[in-house]
Amino acid sequence: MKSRGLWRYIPIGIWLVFVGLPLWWVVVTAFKDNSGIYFGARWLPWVDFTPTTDAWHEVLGGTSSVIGPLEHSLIISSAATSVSVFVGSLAGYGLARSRLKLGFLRNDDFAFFIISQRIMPPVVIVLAFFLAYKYLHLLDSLVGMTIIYIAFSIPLATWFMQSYFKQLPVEIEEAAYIDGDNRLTAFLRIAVPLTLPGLIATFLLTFSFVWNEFLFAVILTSNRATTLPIMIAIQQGEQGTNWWNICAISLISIAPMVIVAIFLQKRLVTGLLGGALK
Amino acid sequence: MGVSPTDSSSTASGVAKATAPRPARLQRRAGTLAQWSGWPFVLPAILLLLLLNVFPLIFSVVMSFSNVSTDNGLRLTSATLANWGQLLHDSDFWSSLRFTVFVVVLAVGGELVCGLTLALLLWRPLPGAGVFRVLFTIPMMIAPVAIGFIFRMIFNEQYGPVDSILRGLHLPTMQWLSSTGTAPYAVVIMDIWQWTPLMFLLLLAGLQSIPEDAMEAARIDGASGLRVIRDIVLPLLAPIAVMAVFLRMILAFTIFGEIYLLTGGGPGTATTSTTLFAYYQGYQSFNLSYGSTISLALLIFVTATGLTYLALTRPLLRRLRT
Repeated sequence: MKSRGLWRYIPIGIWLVFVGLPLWWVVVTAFKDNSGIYFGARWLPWVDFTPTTDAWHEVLGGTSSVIGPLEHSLIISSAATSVSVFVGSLAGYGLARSRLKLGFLRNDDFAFFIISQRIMPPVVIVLAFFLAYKYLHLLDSLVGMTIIYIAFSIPLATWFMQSYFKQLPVEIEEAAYIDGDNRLTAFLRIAVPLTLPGLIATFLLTFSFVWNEFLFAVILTSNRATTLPIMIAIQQGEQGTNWWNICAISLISIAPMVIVAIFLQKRLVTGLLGGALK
Repeated sequence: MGVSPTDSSSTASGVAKATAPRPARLQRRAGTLAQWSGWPFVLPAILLLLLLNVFPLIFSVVMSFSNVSTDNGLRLTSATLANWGQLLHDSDFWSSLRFTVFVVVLAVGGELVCGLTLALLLWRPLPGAGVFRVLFTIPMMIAPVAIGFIFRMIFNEQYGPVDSILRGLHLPTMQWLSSTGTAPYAVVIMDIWQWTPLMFLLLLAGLQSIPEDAMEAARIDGASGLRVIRDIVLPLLAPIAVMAVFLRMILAFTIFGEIYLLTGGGPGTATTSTTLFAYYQGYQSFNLSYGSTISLALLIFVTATGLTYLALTRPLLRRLRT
């Protein structure tokens, strides 16, 4: 179809400015110093301020180094995401392909139970976790953070994987049973490879939620397991706000998520809405 | 589009649909698959959630009905209704709930309008649409604390770009974050910036799933563009929109990190969301019992609102489908 309605570029352009202004601002501010900030708004490097990489030196090894928290974030996010996507894939497959029965409860009830755990406001469980971790000596530990993020991520991982598995035609797995596969080998050999794009999308989305999470991190960590969002939040030093440092740290935390956004934008919808879309 | 999005899941019907039109021999095999009890697959998830979510929830309830002391070992002293009594008379709690509802209504409403507009704009082919889609998606992937901080810079009254633009246009500048009148709206603008992408993606997918013949028929009848949108597109889009609003509503009720960095809940308590209030009371003032009580009140409120919303939208959806 030939494209019509070029007027659409006008409202789209306005929205691009709205979306782009804050993003542009965080990028340029990461290359500013005192003079680029406290003499009024400066927009363009080399034009109205002199860019500097001071903030980056500071953040990548100087006084407010993010290397430690960056490692914590990577370890916690990878571990929690791997476990919850694995557990969620199993559960999603079970929900999509079997008939569960417990008293009057059926598949829909178990699916609802699992997703309802994500509807619960996180603040409801975090204080209980704080107390429990205090006595289990899991406060401010990578293990403790991984555990709570597993709990936090399983519902969405299950929901997504269930809707991806439901979109697979069941015949292929049936053929595998005829070939002598059992449930587990059919799952691993047939279903998982066939839904690989969905699995990757689920992994990335789960990863992004853990990577960005703040409430659990601010209550359950203080030093040895702090994550990147905590580093962004604690930069208000005695000498006032270190705008440029926070911008550099923010960009470090945003960069991988932009890649996730590019990959996810289509899969996200089919995972969330599943059967509601045709 | 036939499946109502308010169905929590379509597991049973999905299996039935998949097994229906097949030869008898295969159907027998499908029967064995459908009767398979998948407990070994589902049980790990359910057990983990019981241990890591339901048990802490119960413990929260226990805490809210007692006074927690951690001085020498954990002690829960005396079953009491004092926390809940305090909550009912705590004007700060009610103002936090009022502010949270304010954000949910205005922000989710704004996201619906902006997301729908953008989805309609990018629905029909347009050169560069793929690039726009990616750019529009980025905000929702950014950490909430980073967004809160970015908007604190944007709205800064001395060094921020918004006021410099306003001054350049000779318009009056505003004390965005330091006035109780405007700070709540700054939160709403930030939330719209962050979450319109989700609404946009969901609604665009909904638009793309509308069958082309429905559109053709209307066009042959000579209906104008706006009438096609009103009479054909919006009714067909309604189920997705209802689902998307539900999703955003539930998440918006728990807004925390963005506000923590943008305003810290101020000025005064003007932008203290209920989660932020529970954090201040439960963790910073270290009143675990009261913090749990606030968070449970939020849970009750979110659940009640969610169920009411689903009950109210169900007849609407049914009417639109027929």
